[in-house]
Amino acid sequence: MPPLNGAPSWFKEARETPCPVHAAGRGRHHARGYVDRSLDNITSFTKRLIAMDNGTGGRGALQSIEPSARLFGLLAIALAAAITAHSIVLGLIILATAMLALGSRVGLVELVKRTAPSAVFAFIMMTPAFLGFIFPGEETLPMGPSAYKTALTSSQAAYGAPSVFFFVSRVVAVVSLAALLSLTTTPGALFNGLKRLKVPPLFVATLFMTFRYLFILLTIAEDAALAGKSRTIGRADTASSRRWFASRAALILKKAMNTADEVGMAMASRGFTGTFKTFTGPPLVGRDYLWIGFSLFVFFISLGF
Amino acid sequence: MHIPDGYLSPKTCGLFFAAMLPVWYAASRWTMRSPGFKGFPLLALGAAFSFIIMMFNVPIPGGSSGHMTGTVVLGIVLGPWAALIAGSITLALQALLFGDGGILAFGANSFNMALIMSFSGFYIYKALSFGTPGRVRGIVAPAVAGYVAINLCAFATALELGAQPIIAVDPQGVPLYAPYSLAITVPAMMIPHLLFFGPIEALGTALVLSYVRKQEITRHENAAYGGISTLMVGLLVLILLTPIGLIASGTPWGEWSVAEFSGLTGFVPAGMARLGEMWPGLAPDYGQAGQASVLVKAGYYVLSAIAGSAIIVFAIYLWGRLCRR
Repeated sequence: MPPLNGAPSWFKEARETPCPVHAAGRGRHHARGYVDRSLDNITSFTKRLIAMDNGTGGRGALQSIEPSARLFGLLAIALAAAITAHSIVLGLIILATAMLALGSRVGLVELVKRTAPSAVFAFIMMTPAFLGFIFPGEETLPMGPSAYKTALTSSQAAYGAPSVFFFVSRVVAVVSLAALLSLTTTPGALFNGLKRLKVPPLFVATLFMTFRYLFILLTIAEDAALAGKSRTIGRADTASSRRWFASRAALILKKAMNTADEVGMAMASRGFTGTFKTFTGPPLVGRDYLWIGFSLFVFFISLGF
Repeated sequence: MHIPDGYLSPKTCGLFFAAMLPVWYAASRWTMRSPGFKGFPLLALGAAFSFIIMMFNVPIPGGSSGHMTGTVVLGIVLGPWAALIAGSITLALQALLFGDGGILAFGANSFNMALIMSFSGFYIYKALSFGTPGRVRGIVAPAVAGYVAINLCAFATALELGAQPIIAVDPQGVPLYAPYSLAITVPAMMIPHLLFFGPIEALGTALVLSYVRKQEITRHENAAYGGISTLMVGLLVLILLTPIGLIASGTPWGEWSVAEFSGLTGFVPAGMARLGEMWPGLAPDYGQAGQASVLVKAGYYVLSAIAGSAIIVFAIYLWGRLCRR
C-alpha cells in the first residue's frame, strides 16, 4: 500500500462512525452537521407540503361542506373557544372537534399529533402556576425579590391547578380546530374559501403563489444543501460553514427574484393588468347553512358563558 | 415568537387586526405603486424565501446553530412595505396550513414579526449604512438591524403577553389567557433573544446581506422611499409642528419633577432627591419664559427643535466622518 504522505490528516484517521457532514463544533451533541439538519428540515417540510397538497381532500363530514362555509364555521368555533370563560363549554367544543374529526375521517391520532406539541408547550409554560405565584391567595412561603415575588399560596387548589387545566384546554381546543382545518382542506380549497369570504384578491393570490413557489424554492434549497453535503468529507470550521450558509441563502434569494421577474413578465405578456379575475364557486346548499348555523350557535353560547 | 391561539384575549386579537388592516391596505397600495417593483410575484417569492430561510441552520460560534427569520433581509432588499406584506403572507400560511402561530392571533403576530421587524430593520440599516459604507459598516449595519429588530419584536410580544393578566381576568381576578405579568414575560422573552436569537438574526442578516451586496441583488428603489430632500421636508414639517405640544396640559407620565413626584406619591426616593435637580439642562422647559404669550412659547419650541435637530445631525455627520472606512 503506498504511503499517504501527501494526504490531509483527516484522511488518515480511521473512523468507525459515518462522517459528520459539515458538523461545526464537537461532541456527541454536534454529531449531525448543520447541513444534515437543514436537509432534514427541508425534507420533512417538503413531505408535509406534498401530503397537504394531495391528501386532505378526502370524503367526510367537513370535506362535504363548501370551503368558505367550512372556514367560517371553524373560525367561529375557534373564536368561541377563545371567548368562553366556562370549562364545560370548552370541554364540549373539544368533544365536538373530536367528533368532527372522526366524521371527517381524520384519525384522532393524527389530530392529537398535530395538537400535542402546543398542548405540551402550554402545560410546561404554565407549570409555575402550580406554585401559585401567579394567582391570588394568601402567601405561605414568600420567595425571591419583590419584582418576581414567588409564594406558595393557600389558593393553589382553588386557582392554580384549575386555571392551568383551563388554559391548556383552551389552547388544545383552538389548536385542534386549526389542525382540523388544515387536515380537511386542500390549500386550493382554502384559498377559494378565503376569496369567497372577501379577503382581498391580492392577498389570496399572493398566498396561492407563495404556496406554489415553495415547491420550487424547496427544490433549490435541497439541491444546495445536497451539493454542500456531497462536496464535504471532513469537518468544516464554523467560519467556512457560515460562508456556505450565506452564499446558499443569497443564491436562493437571487433565484427567487429572477423567478419573480420571469413570472411577472409572463403574466404581463398574457394581459395581466393588476386586476384579479376569480371564479365564483358553487352556491351554498342546505348542509352549508346548517353548519354555519351550528357554528354560530356555539359562538353565541360562548358569549353567555 | 409566534403567539399561538389561546394566549391572547379576543379583544387583544381584535385590536391588532383592526390596527393592521389599514397598514396592510397602505402596504399593498405603496408596494404596487413603487417604481421598479415587479408586482405581486415578488411578494410571493419574498414570502417563500422567508419560509425557506427558516429551514437553514445558521452555524454560530461554539458549534451550536439556530435559524433566522429573514424578515430584516427582505426589508432591506425589497423595502419595508413589501417585506411587511411578504412577512404577513408567511405568517398566514404558517397559521392556516401548518398550525404555526395562531389564526386568531394573526394580527398580533403580523404586527410583531412583519411590521416591527421589517420597518425597524430597514430604517436602522439605512441609518447605519448612509453614504457609501465600507466593509466594516457593510457588515455592522445589517447585523445591528437584525439584532435590534428581532429584540424589538420580542419586546412587543412580551408586552402583549404580559398585558393579558391586566385586561382579561375573571371576577375572582384569575387570568383567563396568558397568565404571567410583565415582570415575568419581559425577561422571559428578552433574555433568550438578547443572548441567543438576537445574535443568530444579526449574524444571519449580516452574512446574507454581504453576499447580496456582492451579487448586487437589490430590488429596493431609494426613490420610492424618498431621498434626502424628502427627509429634510419631513423634518422641517415636524419642526414647525412642535408647538402642538403647547396644547397638552400637565406633565407627561413619568417626566415629573422632584416636586411633582413628591406631590403625587408623598415621598421622594433618596437617589431622585440627590440627582433629580442636579442639572436642569441647557434650556429647561425648552427655554420658555414662564408667563410669555403662546406665540413666544411656540417660537421657543421651534427654536429648540431646530437646535436639537442640528446638534443630532452634526453628531451623526461627525460619526459618519469617523466611521468612513
